[in-house]
Amino acid sequence: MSAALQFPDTQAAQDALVLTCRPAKSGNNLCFPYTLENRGHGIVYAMHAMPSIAANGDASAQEGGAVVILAGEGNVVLGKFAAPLPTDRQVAVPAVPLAKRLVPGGRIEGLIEIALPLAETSPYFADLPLRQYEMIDFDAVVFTIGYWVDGVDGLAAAPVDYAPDLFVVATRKTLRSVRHVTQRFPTKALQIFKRLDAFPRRLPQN
Amino acid sequence: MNDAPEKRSPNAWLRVATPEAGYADCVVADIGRIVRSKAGRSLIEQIRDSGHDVLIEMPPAPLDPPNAWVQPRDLASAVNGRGTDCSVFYDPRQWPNAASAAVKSSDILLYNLLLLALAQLRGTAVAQPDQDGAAGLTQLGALQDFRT
Repeated sequence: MSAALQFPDTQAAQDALVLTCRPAKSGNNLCFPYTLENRGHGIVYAMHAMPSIAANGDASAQEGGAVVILAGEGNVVLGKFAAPLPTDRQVAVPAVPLAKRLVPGGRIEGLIEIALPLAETSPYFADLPLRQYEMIDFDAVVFTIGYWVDGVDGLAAAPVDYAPDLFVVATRKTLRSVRHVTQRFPTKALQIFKRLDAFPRRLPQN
Repeated sequence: MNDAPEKRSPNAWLRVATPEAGYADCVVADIGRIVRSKAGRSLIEQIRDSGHDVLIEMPPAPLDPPNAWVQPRDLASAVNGRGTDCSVFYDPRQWPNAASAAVKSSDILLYNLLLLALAQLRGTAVAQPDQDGAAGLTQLGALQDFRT
């Protein structure tokens, strides 16, 4: 199995976090409606939206977008998680999703909609011209939600002015503290546009 | 990797691209604020003395949320002590913004990007522990204010 897919779902199991997703195709979109249930005893912060700045400077939280990465072994990792940092540059601002607070016994619902054709996507990289992709068959989608556990690595969560139910989460090691819960869906006859630039595909390991 | 020494134009060690009207004016205004401080002036002098060049450019396509970055011309030389020219990609008109509360102003952002650039010019940029392989480079921690 590829390193990018060594998400320790055992960790999610220990945290008693249950992800249920029922993907479907709707017109020209792939839709991933999901629920995330916290059956454990601790609070978690589940990644839920990306901050967005409109042309007029207004901020909002975009809940429907996703990071999409073609990992090894024919798996496409897709979902709401912190995209791998670029390896060919130093970025000023880590692109970390805003999170929802999920108390024990709580449940959140979410939806990711992605227009076809599927293409590798990250907040660190703008779309490329068509000729700078290659089309690759893949075997499965690994639907992934990133989360932090309250109390781990000095976690601090600050509410967001423009999205009252969401939080900016930071820890002593914000990216390395992220855990992932995943669900794998085998696919048939689906392709992804793989980027031919220095697109990073390795996710931080827990 | 190219082993040939990089050629340097003696009068072009800090350049600003002019992709569209207004961009360079805003960048130059930020540089002006930086050099009016002792720390900022020192940084610019160190860049001049590094023997390599910095080109400040507008990001080639808009990102949402906005971001900025420093990209070495030669990745290996940025971390192996040799040093390399680099490009700073930022658009001062995008900063500050509500998505990045840590960035208080575009000139503070540029100052910190130039600090990262200096490390690349000198070949002392830090490999990033989260990434395998090459020159993964560290992200910014707390931003330094050149005025203090």
